[in-house]
Amino acid sequence: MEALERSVTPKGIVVDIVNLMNLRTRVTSWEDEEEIHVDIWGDDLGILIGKGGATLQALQDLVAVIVRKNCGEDRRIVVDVERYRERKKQKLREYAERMAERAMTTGKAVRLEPMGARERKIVHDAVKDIPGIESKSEGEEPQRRVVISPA
Amino acid sequence: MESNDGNDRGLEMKELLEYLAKALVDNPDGVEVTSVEGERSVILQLRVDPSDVGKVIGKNGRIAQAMRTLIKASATREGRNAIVEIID
Repeated sequence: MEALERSVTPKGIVVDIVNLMNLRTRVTSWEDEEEIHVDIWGDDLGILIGKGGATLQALQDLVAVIVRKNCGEDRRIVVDVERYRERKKQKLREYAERMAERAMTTGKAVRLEPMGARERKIVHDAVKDIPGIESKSEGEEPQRRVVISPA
Repeated sequence: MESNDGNDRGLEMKELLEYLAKALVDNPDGVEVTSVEGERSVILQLRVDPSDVGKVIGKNGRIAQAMRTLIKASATREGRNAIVEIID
């Protein structure tokens, strides 16, 4: 399809998809050695995010597979809408810090709810420099969770 | 022309599915999407070359599910429901 030949960059593929969805957006992109990041900007893009980010995840999964197949590119592809992922990450960091504070004041370990590997890493990273606090993961996937405790 | 309008919107989802499928398979010429339009819903039937079926389904159906999610999102905005069927 000629549309695909025109757009064999991650950004181009995202632009094609949002255009086909008839959404008015602006798409920007940046990359480093590890990942290619495509950001979608615009009003009223909730439908592109979906419940709990499900639609955004679907979009990212598809773009990643298409890029790998058509662009000979194997860096990680991240697609974000209005910094949704970034904001979610920030919320998780703040939550981790609050839980570390709780562990500190109560002197007891705090067991967080089960999370995926990427989210657990965000939590570990958020508390790793807090003095007197340590974190580890316990349990088996998909029930694996972070435990934050006084050192 | 109300019916025309409806057809156009169905066409959009059809084009999106066609685009995704062609980008995923080895034989883009073997991709065919037909749509059955209803008042509140559209059924999209995707046919690909037999050797490409796995490509549009993916491990544990992950790719097919992702396409459904995206197409449904597109349809929801127009107050419609979309069903994607992969015919093999």
